[in-house]
Amino acid sequence: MKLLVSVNKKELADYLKYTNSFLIGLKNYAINYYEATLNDIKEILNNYPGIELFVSLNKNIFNEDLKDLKEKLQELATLKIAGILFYDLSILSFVKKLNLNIPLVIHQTHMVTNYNICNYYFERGVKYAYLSAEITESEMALISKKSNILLMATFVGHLIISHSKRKLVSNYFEYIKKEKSKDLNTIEEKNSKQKYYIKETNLGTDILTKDILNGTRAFCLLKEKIEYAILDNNLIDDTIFLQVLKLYNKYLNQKIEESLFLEKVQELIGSYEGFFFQKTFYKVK
Amino acid sequence: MKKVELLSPAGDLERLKIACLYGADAVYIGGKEYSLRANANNFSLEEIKEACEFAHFYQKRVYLTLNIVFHNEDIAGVYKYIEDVVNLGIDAFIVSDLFLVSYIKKNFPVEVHVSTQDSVTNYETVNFLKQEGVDRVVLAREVGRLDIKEIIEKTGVDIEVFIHGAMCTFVSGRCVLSNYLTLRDSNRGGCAQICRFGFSLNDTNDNFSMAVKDLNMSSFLKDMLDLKIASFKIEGRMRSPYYLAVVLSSYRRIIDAYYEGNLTNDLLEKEEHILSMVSNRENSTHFYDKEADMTDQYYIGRQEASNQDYLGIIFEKENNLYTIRQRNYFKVLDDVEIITPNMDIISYKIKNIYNKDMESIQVANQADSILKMEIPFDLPIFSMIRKPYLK
Repeated sequence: MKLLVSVNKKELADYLKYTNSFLIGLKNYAINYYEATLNDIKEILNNYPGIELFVSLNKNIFNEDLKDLKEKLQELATLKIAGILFYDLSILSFVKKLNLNIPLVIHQTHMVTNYNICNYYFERGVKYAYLSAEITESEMALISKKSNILLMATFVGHLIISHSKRKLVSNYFEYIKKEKSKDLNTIEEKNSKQKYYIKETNLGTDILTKDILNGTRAFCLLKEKIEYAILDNNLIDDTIFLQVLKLYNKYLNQKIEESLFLEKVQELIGSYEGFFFQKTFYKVK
Repeated sequence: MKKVELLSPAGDLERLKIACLYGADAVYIGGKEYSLRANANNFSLEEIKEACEFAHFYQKRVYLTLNIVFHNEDIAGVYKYIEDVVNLGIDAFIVSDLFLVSYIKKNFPVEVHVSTQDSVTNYETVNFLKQEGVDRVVLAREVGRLDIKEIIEKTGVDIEVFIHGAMCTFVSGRCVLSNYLTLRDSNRGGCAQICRFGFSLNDTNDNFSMAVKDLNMSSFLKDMLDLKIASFKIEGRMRSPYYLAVVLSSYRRIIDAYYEGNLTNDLLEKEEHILSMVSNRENSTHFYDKEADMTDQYYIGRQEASNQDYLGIIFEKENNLYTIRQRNYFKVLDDVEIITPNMDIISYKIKNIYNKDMESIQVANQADSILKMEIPFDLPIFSMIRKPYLK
């Protein structure tokens, strides 16, 4: 297993001691990633030779995007990037039609949940599947067993829960006739008192967990089954994140005992384990 | 000219029969498993058989939703289930997990429609799905008029769009709020509609809301008919039979008038009025002609009004003596309207009401009670009595 850091800046020097695999969003095409232009991506690859750089284009593509998307994919194919994460199937279609030499990662955020869908994409030339955060560790293990596709999963980060094309926060402030002062806000559900981040961008509105996912226990169980463990730096303090990254690196290099690793990460980011050990249900009894 | 299909939801057999009789060309239903409305009544295998027989008798089509996002544990039984329901007469499956497309197309002579859950928003993706064998794509609710037009022109694939009913705040398939707040899996039919819950913003006492108004495309229907969309979809497998009857018959009258060349502004206004009366939330056209904005959302107050216009349904008749299941309060001498599966709307003043023992009563005030009424003209079974809508 390799550590794949979803970065929050173009400067990667701080991370390089612990990993050389990175994930970034392409500007105007990425939901919930640090966004870089094609020039930024070229600059990163120049500045940090030898790194693996994955680029996310995970928004829904509309007709008006297609021409530009095609050009961007052709240009990305000339760069030595490690792969493209995609949500919309137009990207898979273009890469196949144009015979572009880019490894693909199926990244349909909440919909990569079983081994059959992983096999479906593998049979169509997709190399990696970025698993949904809403399935359990044992479901991930079974997907690994019953699919040939290489797997990615998030183990640390604020998880995206929902994406809307609507500008929900701007709309609200327009309604109450006040100025919106910032793009990142917190909402609290009134009965349960659960809190979430709500983030508005040029692509719409995202809701994210306010707690940081600590998937360290699942990481230890899945380390032979997942190709890339994604650690997401976005909205996490850099100092804390780097300490977590360092611990993950030490664990993979067998320089820290598992129990101490678990304890130290928990001290840094808490104990929220998402759905790794918690199944959802769908019929109300 | 190929006519647009009017596609209705049906949460159970009664609703399916109402839908077929009140103007739907096709109905979509959920089985007991694999459907995104896990908490609707849904159809057993026996009921699916009866549904197909009933619908096919009236030359209507039946589509079965298999549109959950599968987890490993859901896979084992699905292949046998598909075979069973194909044998019962299903005309098409609505799927979101694409591994089912190739499996179904390879093994069975039925159509496969890709669900709106896959949030398809462009023609390149539709063409990719066409190559995979998909017969129809239900577009994402975020796709506007120009994109719909271009997708139809550049793909030749049957395109289905929503025209009426509840909307999601978030992109379908890209929302799991329900999973996080309640553990109910929104992509497996358990959505708790968290987007309609109350929130506060930034630790204030604000009433921050994400809820959106319902969709009602009647004002743009002529324009949509011009686009050559294959199917107009109505949302709401859990809506009442009365709601279905009114919504379907209104859209049926508009569509038929369009093809007969006599769609007038007067007719459109009348049907828009009827559709606004049956709705229990405010309506909007959302993304069709603009980016959705503040006017498409709710911010304060009650979002849903209880509709008490539906007074009863006729389920048996003997000459002009009709047996009625009561729904809401009415009394002798009330002015009402009777809507029928023939698309008629008949104004009537109630002359008499009897209890089930044929004793005369003045007031019908017990919900679900069985009543009888003499009405001096011929009405088909499943005609409904309501408060007057017509101006």
